[in-house]
Amino acid sequence: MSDLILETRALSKRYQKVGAPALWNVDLEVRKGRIVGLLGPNGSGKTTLIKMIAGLLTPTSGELLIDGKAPGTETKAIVSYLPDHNFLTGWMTVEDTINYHADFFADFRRDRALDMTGRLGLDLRQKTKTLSKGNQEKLELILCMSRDAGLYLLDEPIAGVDPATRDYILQTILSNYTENSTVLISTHLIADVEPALEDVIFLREGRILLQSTVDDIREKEGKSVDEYFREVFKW
Amino acid sequence: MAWKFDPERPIYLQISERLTAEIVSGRWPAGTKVPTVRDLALDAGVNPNTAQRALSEMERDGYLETRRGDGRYVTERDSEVQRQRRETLARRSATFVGDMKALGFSDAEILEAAEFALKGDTSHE
Amino acid sequence: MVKKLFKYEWISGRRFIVPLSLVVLGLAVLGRLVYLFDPSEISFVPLSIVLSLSQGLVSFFNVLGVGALFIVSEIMLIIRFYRNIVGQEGYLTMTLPVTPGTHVLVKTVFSVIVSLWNVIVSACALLILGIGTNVEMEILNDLYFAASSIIESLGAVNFAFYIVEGFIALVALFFFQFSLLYACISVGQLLKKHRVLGAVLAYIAWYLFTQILGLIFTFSMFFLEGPIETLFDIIVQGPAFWLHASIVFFILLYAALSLAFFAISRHMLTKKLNLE
Repeated sequence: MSDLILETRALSKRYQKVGAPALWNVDLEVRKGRIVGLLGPNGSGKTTLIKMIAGLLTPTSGELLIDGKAPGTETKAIVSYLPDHNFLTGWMTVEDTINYHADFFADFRRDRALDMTGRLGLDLRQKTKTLSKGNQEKLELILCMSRDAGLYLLDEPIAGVDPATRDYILQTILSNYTENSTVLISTHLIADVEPALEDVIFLREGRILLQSTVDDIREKEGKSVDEYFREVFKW
Repeated sequence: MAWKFDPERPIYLQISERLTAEIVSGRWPAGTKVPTVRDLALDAGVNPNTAQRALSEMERDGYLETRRGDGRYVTERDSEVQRQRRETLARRSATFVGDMKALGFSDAEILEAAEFALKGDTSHE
Repeated sequence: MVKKLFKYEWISGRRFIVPLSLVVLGLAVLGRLVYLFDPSEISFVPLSIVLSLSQGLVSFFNVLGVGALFIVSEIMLIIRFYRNIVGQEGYLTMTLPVTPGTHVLVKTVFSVIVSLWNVIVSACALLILGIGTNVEMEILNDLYFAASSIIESLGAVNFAFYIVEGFIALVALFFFQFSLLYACISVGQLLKKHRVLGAVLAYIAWYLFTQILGLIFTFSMFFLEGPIETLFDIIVQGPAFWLHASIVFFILLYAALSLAFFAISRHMLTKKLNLE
């Protein structure tokens, strides 16, 4: 059994025949049990990469393996995806969405979801379309993190929430951690997540700029990943 | 909530420094049970592997020891610094005694000289 | 998984299926009640007028109701397919451990079941309207007599067989209808910013295609007089057989088209999924 949860080889994605590809020649190896930051400016291909891992986009060329398998129903069963968009069904109540997830995902822990909705003050009987934006995002996070997934894909999980919720989200990520699960966080709020990260991947214009660890960058560059990022991606 | 860290240095080093200070200052005496990797990670707001690395470093340096099935504890042996201090005292004392004996002084004379030196020292304080 | 998908189709669908069915049946009951009285037997003129008006209105709404039942159901099913697969909800739906093909299949089958249910509800409404009167039984009897006469004159034996065939043809028609609509949505989602427009264009494209085929067929009639006459001669010799054959032909045609459209939907949603 490999200890790699994610492997890509020359992975590329082109949306149209002319113009720059969204992702080009991406070679990645992510080990199990790591919390990885996928960092890069808007349009660098982070979301494209994440969607491909989630099984929502097919690669144009190259290889993508999740726990040694090509994207499909088996990989979807072990990948928990938190998109940047609202994905809730409006007429369902909070409890309905929890039941829905419990029904379709074998690794969904209902008790964890109910505990978290309680702690975050969400009313189980409220319809999701009447929830405030902040509460919608909290619910989506709860649904994602209540699974015992092999790979969590979080696309900008803390961008639209208040600082207290941000802390809660990071704390949830850390307390959910096990050696068998991996978390891939795509964000541009690097300073907030940096202490939680172990590995980082810099993406620029669809290509991997570097893959390293937070410790290495701090040791070699003498600055935090956040500062190093600003330097590298200076306009 | 989470600890504040200096952005220019690896986090694991900063964690082990802070915890080592607790030990050396005596706030965590020998035999104190140290937080688990999980608890430390959550408390500090850091990656669990970072917390793990900090604790491993301290263990390697002799400040901590793992008791099988029970977690990590502050070592019952003196810390490295204390140990080295004592080693230095023992070594230099042995050298002094050896040198004085070679000059022909008796045990009682050596002891008297040491006491006189100590008293002389205290009078200067 | 498939059972669960059907469960959620029902949970979502019952929100419009149940009210619509109740409304249609309710209107039928109302219609039956209103027709219990004969306006011409009421001497008090205003009441007589009100009764006549009511009868007219209720009849109108009954017909409208049955029409609405089918149209609204179809619209709701289309909207739900779009929202669930290609809209925002798609971010969740399409990451379930279920293949896109399974999603499309379940939704298509469910849509067909809803359509059949609507047929049953409409038939019940008709029956309700005719309870206790002899009108309905008379009409049914006449219909049956007429139909079986036609069939027998064509040389057939078993009328019941035709009913079964007709039912299968109806099912095939429903499958075709929804497979087509869902394929249009699946193709339309390729146009990132104009998904709905894309679906409409796809539908128009199909419509134009069938129209062109129809035109070609009609024009070819002029040039194929000879072969057509021979064809008629053959048919006249055993009309019942050819009636069967044409029904079976349409069943097979609709089935084949349904499969083709299903394959298109599956390909589009697997390889070319384009969520917002």
